[in-house]
Amino acid sequence: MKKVIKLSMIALAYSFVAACATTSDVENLQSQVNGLDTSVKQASADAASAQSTAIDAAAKAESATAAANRAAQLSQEANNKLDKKFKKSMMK
Amino acid sequence: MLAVILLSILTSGCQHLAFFPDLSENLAFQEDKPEKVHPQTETIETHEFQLSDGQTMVGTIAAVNTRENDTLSDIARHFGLGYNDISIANPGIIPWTPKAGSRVLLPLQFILPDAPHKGIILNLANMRLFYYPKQQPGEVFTYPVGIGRQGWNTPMGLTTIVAKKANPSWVVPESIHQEHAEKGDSLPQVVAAGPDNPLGLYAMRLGFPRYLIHGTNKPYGIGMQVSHGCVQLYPEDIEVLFKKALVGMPVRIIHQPYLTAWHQDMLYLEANEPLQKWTLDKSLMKKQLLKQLHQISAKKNVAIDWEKVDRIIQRSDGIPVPILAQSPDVAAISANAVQLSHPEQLYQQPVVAELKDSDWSILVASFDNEIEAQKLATMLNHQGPIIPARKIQKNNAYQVIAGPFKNQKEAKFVAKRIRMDFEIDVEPSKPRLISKN
Repeated sequence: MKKVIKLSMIALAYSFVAACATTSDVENLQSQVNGLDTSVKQASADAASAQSTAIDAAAKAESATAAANRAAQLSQEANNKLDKKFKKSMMK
Repeated sequence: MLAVILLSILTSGCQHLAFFPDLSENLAFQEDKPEKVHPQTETIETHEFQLSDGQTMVGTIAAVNTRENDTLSDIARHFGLGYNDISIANPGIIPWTPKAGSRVLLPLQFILPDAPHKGIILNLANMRLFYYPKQQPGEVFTYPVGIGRQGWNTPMGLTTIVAKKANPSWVVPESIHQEHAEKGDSLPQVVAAGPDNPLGLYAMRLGFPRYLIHGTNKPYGIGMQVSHGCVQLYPEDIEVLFKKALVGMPVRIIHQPYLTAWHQDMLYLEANEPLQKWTLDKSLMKKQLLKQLHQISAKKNVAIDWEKVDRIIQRSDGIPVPILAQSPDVAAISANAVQLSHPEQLYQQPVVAELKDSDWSILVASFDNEIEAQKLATMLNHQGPIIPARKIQKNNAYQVIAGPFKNQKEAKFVAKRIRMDFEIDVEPSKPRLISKN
């Protein structure tokens, strides 16, 4: 029995010592985790914002390309029309 | 989460890190400053060629660099080519507004049509006339021509020259009277010789009733299908041909889009797009060509590059290209073309007189786009007779102003021509209304 009490006391003392060290580390770790979590949330928000900007830019580029194509097509049509008129003007 | 961070880094990194060099500057440099090629010669044979026995191809492919305000039409005329020849051979160059320094290929190598070398042979497919003078055997002259438009096709077959006339009057056919009447124009019964006569200064009547070989007062229509069936030549070319040709001389009119020739142990193929009238026969004509080439290949025991033959037919640019296996392609031919120095003055290149305050003028059109304004002005300068015109920048627009005209009557006459041919509603205006800047 004495031996059991003795062993229990040693285990208790060890657990106190070990517990003190773990709590400090955990708090520190928790703090780091919290900081990292904030960074990740910020990075995530930045990424989402960048993605949104990229989508907007892509849409604008697509719209600009479509407008340029329309202008080129109109210009080509106007050119062809003028070419036909020139040919007509060369007739007797 | 890691993926999001990575994406964030990568997307933001694209904006800041120079992973790829900026090529835009280099590309602009290449576009604006074409490769410098030193001219090898001043002149080249364009119309008259010596023929040895059995020779079926003449001439040389050449090239010239454009200068400011040149057009492909000006270059074509100077070197004895038609608009079709030069525009098809240079698909990457804008005919009316080429950039200064553009390298223009001059397709001055011709495969002779498969027809007897007697009198005049006119190949409608490439709008080119060959003349074999009886009095100068061993020579051939060649000229680009304008021919009948779709629906008014130049007749084919063998005929002769039945009459020649210098300074001809033009008796206007009823069909042309009707066409002009529909446009609100009335022509006289007879147009006397002069600058408004579409026959130009020389005409040769053919045995085909009502058809002529003649000059023109609209020289920049050479190489186009513009007539009612008559054959037109540049004024400078008809003058030479008229003096050489004799009444009774045979004239054979053919349509041969695919021409082949043996030249210095090499087989060449020249392909031209068949005229619209023969569009439906194109596959048949191609089949006949391939059959002919297979026969040549077997008879001469030579290997033909069939893929190249296909490409040549597809391109149909009128340039003779060697077709035996391992022979150079059209890019090599172009690269090796004889580089000519630019002539001091292109033959008959329109010169526009300065517009003075005392002159009548016409505001033809206003454009946002400078190139379009330049194109219209240039087209007016290439009318027959010339309509002098220039592009003038005004604020953010580009105006095309025609003139100078001596008086209101002349300005009104030209305004009518512009309305009829270009369908632009214009009125003469006094020059004081137009600011030069």
